[in-house]
Amino acid sequence: MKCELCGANNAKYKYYEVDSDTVREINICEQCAREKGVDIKSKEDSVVVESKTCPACGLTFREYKDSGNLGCVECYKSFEDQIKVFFKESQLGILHKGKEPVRNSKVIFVKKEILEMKKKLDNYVEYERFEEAVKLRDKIEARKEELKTIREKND
Amino acid sequence: MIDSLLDHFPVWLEKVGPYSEMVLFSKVSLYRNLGGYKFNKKNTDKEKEEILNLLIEGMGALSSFENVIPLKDLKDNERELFAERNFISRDELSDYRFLGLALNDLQNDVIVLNSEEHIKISCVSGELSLKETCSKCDSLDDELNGEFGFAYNNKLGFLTSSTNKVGTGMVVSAVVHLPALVITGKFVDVIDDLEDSLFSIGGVFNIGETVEGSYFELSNRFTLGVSEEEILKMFEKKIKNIIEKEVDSREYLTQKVGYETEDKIWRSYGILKNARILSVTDFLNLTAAVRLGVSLGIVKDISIRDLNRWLFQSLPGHLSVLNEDAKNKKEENILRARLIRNNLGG
Repeated sequence: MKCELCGANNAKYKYYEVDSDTVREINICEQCAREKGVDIKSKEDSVVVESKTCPACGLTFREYKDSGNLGCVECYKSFEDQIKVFFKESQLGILHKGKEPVRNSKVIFVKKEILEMKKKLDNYVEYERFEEAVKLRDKIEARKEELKTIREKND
Repeated sequence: MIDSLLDHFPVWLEKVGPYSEMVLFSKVSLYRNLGGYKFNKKNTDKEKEEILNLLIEGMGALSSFENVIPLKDLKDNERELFAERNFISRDELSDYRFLGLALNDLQNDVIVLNSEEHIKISCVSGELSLKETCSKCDSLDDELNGEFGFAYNNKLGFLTSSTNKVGTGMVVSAVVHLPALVITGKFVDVIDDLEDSLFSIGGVFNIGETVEGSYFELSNRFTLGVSEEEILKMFEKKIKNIIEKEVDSREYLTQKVGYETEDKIWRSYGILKNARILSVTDFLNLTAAVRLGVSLGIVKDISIRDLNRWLFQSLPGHLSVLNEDAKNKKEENILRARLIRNNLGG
């Protein structure tokens, strides 16, 4: 049987996509199984029961059910229906009624950017691409200045 | 820096107010995560390390926290001491490599960095002053959000890895001493009341599976679909209801079985004053009886504040950090007995 997802390779596994109350069975090939983040436990075992996966972080619904923990903010969208069921059982509503953040800071984003630029700078230096390195270093300095200004504004 | 934290007790242990006989402390916690980063559930060790560094650097830029400590820099007994002070849970300590703690000098504002959620802001009080504690926590939250920018969306509020904390991300808790409910067997009623409700209660000083000393922690299990004020109100109602039940049981103990109660209290006092070896279990249960005696006005030469101090001083982590002699269980038990004996003039 061909894989029901890509239609190209031979299907090797049975993949179960679990929604809140329905289970969909799909025959898929190894490549598609891996792409879906399926945990292939044993190569001889041709039946793998797995569940819906968050495309952003690769967390499976099963992992969430086992631990009660999500992998990223996108998981809330990926498992929206299932989580809603949980909220109805365990929370007092499905919508936020509490405080809103007063100001949303850019600090963390600028810092993340600086961190990534620094990693890139190390690469440039390692491969002796000094011209690019100098330009990037100036950019990093400018970003650091920006960080200072944002922090001063926050105080 | 750390030495001063270890040598001094948190302010909430020293400052006693109304309800202090029964409420060891109350706490408001807010769980938050950094926008733009995965939750730690899905982060690799390297990513966790990167986030810890960001958090430590960010906390250093704020003036409210004099102490920012990566937990891997501490000794085992120092980490245990912080767990005994309730700053961090033993579950969290099972892998402390990428965890951090930020504390103010009074040790009543505590931030756990990079645990299941990236940030847990807690404000602790020695009384049941939940409103003030909550408003303090709220200001810290604003300050930290300015630095970090928390993950938030309009529908679901503050986004957390645990779906039990999403929304307000707020958990209110209080550690209460309920010896009379335990002695009279009425504690079962408290549990029955909570069974299908929105709160959970658990022992604080547990040796194995047993709760020692009758200290329990109550906390809310819901965070979404309600405002912070509503959570506070509901919590306050619940905790006061439990305290009332404890008061009723205490009345029963003094009025119906007065001699037996006094005997239990003075026997415990006598053992504490004279024992040469005291295990943690014995210590917790004996001081619990004496604490009941102090609250009932039967024991008059000790204060609740003394008892609070002795309680923490005698826990294994504290004993080991503050005394070089406490090298093993046996020496620890001897030292514990000597400490309390000296305090009681025995």
